Order: sequence, then structure tokens, then C-alpha cells
Amino acid sequence: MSEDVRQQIIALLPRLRRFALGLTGSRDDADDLVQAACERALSRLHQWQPDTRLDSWMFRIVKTIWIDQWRTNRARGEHVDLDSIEPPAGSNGRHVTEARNTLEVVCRAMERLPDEQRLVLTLVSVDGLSYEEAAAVLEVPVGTVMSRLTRARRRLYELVENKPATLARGRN
Amino acid sequence: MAKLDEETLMAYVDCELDPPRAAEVEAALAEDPEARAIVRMFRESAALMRGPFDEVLREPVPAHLLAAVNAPATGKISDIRLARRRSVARFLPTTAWARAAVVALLVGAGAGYLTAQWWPGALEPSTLAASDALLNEALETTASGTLFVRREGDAGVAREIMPLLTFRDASNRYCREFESSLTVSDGRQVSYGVACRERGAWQTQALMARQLIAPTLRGDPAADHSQYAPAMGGDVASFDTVIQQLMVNGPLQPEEEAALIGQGWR
Repeated sequence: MSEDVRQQIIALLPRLRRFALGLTGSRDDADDLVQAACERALSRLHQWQPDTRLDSWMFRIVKTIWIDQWRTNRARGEHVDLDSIEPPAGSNGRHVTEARNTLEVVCRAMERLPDEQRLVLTLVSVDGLSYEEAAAVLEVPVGTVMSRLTRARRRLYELVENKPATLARGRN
Repeated sequence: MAKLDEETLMAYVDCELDPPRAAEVEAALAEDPEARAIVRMFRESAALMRGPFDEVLREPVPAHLLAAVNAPATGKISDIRLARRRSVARFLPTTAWARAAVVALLVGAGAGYLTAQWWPGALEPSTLAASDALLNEALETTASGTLFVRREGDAGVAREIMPLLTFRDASNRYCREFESSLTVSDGRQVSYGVACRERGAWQTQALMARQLIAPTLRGDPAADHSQYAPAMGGDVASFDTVIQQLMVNGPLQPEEEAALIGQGWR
């Protein structure tokens, strides 16, 4: 049983690393985060219910650890001003096109998103979870996932493309 | 038909709408250029995210991550202790210190304290007594893996205590494993033990202690160059037996421990 779960966690490692990279924007931090999550998960295997999805449970652990660390960093004053709308470096001139799709530009833009937006963006747009699956990981209603995701996508677009997105439209 | 809201347009892009609703949106898009622009923006923002991160999926997983998952016997106290020690590597830095060969193991509260010879002068065995007030305060208020430090005067006298693990014993007492060091100008005494809370105070159940000699007092500088990472090195292994005998249901989780500290261990 426990060995079987271990194998399943190993199979999830590439996805967990990708998720953690989306959150942290740094490979080293991502691997530290995944390692911490694996250690925590293994020490609490008894809390995982076998009839639920292991990937959601693991993502939730990654999320929790990341938020804890993020809050810690913020308390130490390393918090990035989320409202500064400076374009990411390198986003002017003709290099934009080449650089646009690189990890670095996207990661730097993501750093400017509030953490709850970054989470939902990573779950849905990077990992490809459905809104409902993302809502389960984040333990929020689907409506919340959607509102955070619209804001995150618009903001990311603005930051990476360095131009305002089309006019926002609310619910009717 | 009312204007399509942004969330619906995003859900359409993400294939989250059921087919009839998606068809409605498509029909509406045909006559709503502004909505088409929003759809384009959502498609582009999704495309930005897809490519760059997927490279990670094709990379081999680093060996240390695989090792973390494959680590044997999860939740074993030695693993937890190791992880907590690692988090405070600066605890008891001792490479410059020689070890004096005083090692004692004492089991059973009230069994009388160490009879081995102690450092003459400042380091008294009293610091190891069950009535050790600083130890009591540290165990009462400090989370496992966190260092409790008290300094006295400017003569370099310092007491450092780090709880390592919390668990319950068969008579439902809370017990904690800890490391402790007392530093004075010419020596340091490190100890490692288990105390259980009874009638509002932490009573030492088992204790192992060692004297360290300050570098300046070493007779022979070449006498001991041993790397000295944890306070007690390999001797601690013999403690696992003590703890396994006392412990019921494994170590408490950090949240449980934090709650107990918050409410005075009741």
C-alpha cells in the first residue's frame, strides 16, 4: 500500500516540479519546495484518503508550504510590490518576440501577480487542471477560481505583451 | 442576447462550457468584435503559459528528489530528528572543541544525577536537574526545531535548548526530546534527553551529557579533531530505544504541538 503510493508520488514528480516552478519562478526553489512537500506527504500518508486523488492532495501540500514560505518572506520585507506596472526587463524593442515565450519573461511577469492568482494560473494554465479540479486543490468555489483566473490572465497578458488588454467586462 | 461576460469567454477558451453553451457563445461572438478581442487575449495568455514550463516534464527528476520519496520508514523519529537538526545546523557548532570523555546515560526521574566527574567550577550537574528552570521554560514554550537561548552577563555564559520531538507516553503525559548546551568561558556541556510533563513541570526521564573543553584549554591541540555535528553524535542512537519505549502513537505533528504550547499543554 505505502510502497504503491510512493510509486505514484514518484510518477507525479515531474508535474509537481512544473507546478512548483510556476509558483516560485526558480528551479532551485522549486525543487526545494517539492522535496519539502514530499517529506510532508510521506509523514502524513495516513491523512490521505485512498479514494481521493493523490495529485490534488500533493498539489495542496505544495501550495500550503509555498504560501507559508511566501508569508515568511513577506514578513521579512522581501515582498514585491504587486502594483508596480513596470514592464519586465527586455520587453521593449525587437527582442520581445524572441524573449516573449521564454520561461524567464513569463516567470518574471508571474512574480507580479498576487499569490492566489499565481496559484490558480499555474494550476489551470500550466498544469491543465479543470476549473473544478483547481477549485478542489485550492479549497475555494469554482466561481472564485474563475474570477481569479480572469484577473491573472489579463494581468499576465498586459505584463508580457507590455500593452493594456482589451477593456474589462464584468458579469451582466 | 446579453453581452458575454469575461468569465464566460475565458471558460469558452478553456473548453469549460458544455456544448450547447459553447455553441451559444460562438454564435454571439460572430456579432461582437469586442468579445472576439477578449477571446484572443485569453487564448494568447494561455499560450504564454503552456510552452515554457513543459520543458520541466521532459527533464529527468533530480536524484535527491527521488531519494526523498524513497527514503525508508517515513515518520521515523530518527528522520524527523535529522531534519530538525539540519534546520539549525548552527546549533552546537563544535569542531573547535575537544571532547572530554564524560558520557552518562540516566534513565528514570529522580534516579540521582550524574556521578561522573564534572567540569570543575562553573559547570555544575545542577543544570541537569529535573528542576532545571530554563529547561522547563524552553520545553513549555518552544516549538520543536526552534532554538531557545538565554544569556547571562557578558562572560559568555549561555544556555541553548532545542526541543526535537514531542510525543505522548502510555500514561498520557506529553514528553519531549531535547538537546541542550551550557556554555561558560572555559567549557561547554552538552546534553541530550527526554522530559515528560507531570503536574505542570517537565521532569527529566533520561539524559545523556558530555563535557566539552574549550579550545584554549586543550592540552594537546592534535588530541581530537573529530567532526562533531550533533551534540551527541552516534551515542544518540541508544536513545531511540528509550523513546520508542515511552512513545505511544508516534510523534505529534507541528500543528498539534503548536496548539499545546498555545494552551499551556492542557
